[in-house]
Amino acid sequence: MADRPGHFDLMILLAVLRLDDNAYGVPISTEIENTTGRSIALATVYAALERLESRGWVSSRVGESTAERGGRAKRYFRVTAKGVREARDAKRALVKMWGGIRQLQEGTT
Amino acid sequence: MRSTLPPSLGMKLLAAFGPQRTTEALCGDLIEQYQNGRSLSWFWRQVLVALVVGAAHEARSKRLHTIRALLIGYVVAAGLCYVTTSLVAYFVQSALGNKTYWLFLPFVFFSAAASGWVVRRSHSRPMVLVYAAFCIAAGLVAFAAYAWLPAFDTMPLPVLLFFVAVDFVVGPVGVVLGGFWDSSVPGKSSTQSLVR
Repeated sequence: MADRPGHFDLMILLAVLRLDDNAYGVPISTEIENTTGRSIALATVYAALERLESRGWVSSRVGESTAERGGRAKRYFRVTAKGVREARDAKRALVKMWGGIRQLQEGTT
Repeated sequence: MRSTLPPSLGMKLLAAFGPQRTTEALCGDLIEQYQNGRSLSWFWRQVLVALVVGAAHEARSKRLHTIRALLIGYVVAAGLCYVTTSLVAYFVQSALGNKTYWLFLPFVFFSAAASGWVVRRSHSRPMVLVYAAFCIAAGLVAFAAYAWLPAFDTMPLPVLLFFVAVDFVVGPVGVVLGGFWDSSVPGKSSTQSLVR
């Protein structure tokens, strides 16, 4: 069976897509924190990104190193066409699962 | 007023044991966030999570390398420990009697550090932490096994403390320092490791 993105993987893919050209560790984790309201460790973001990269869903490039980062370069991420397809498939499947569930449509818990 | 740079020990730990591919970017992100007002406790939490996540990922994704690292580390540590402590016992036991075992501690530390150094030289960076975690787990198993022995109930407290020190302090700390020491060699990149 082919790999499918998990919940956190999907959040990362969507955050990278939203951030477009500015998708590196800090804004990706901030985007997810702002959306979910939960604090996440940068290392878990990088671990997930590495996993997504190994599946060919994102690609990365090393950016410029700046003084305010102690001379450390940023690593920028971009969702590949395969990653976009996976995100779209996941959305389609989730929306299909959502449909017809009365409790969710009425907004009750 | 606090420094604008995060603690260098945290950065050194990440550089020594963090995942090779993402550590530079992660360190830069931590510096950036710290300068934007994140707290010291936030920084240390990030370092701890990065080390644990890196080691867990390494152990899961490279199982054969992990088994080999644990075997190599164990053989080096056990071999050195056996040779050095036997020599100490041979030369000084008659003079010091039953208290000789406290003299073993520096030799146990040396053996553990040497095994950490060998694991670091022959494997990827986070593997040292996997090996240190294995040492602690092995210590716990050994203690559980001792507890079943009838002799455990009559074991004198100093001897018990000695085993606690060896299994949970001297051994794991020696392993980590051995791996850490190797990472500080100037100009040595982890691509020079024998195994990827």
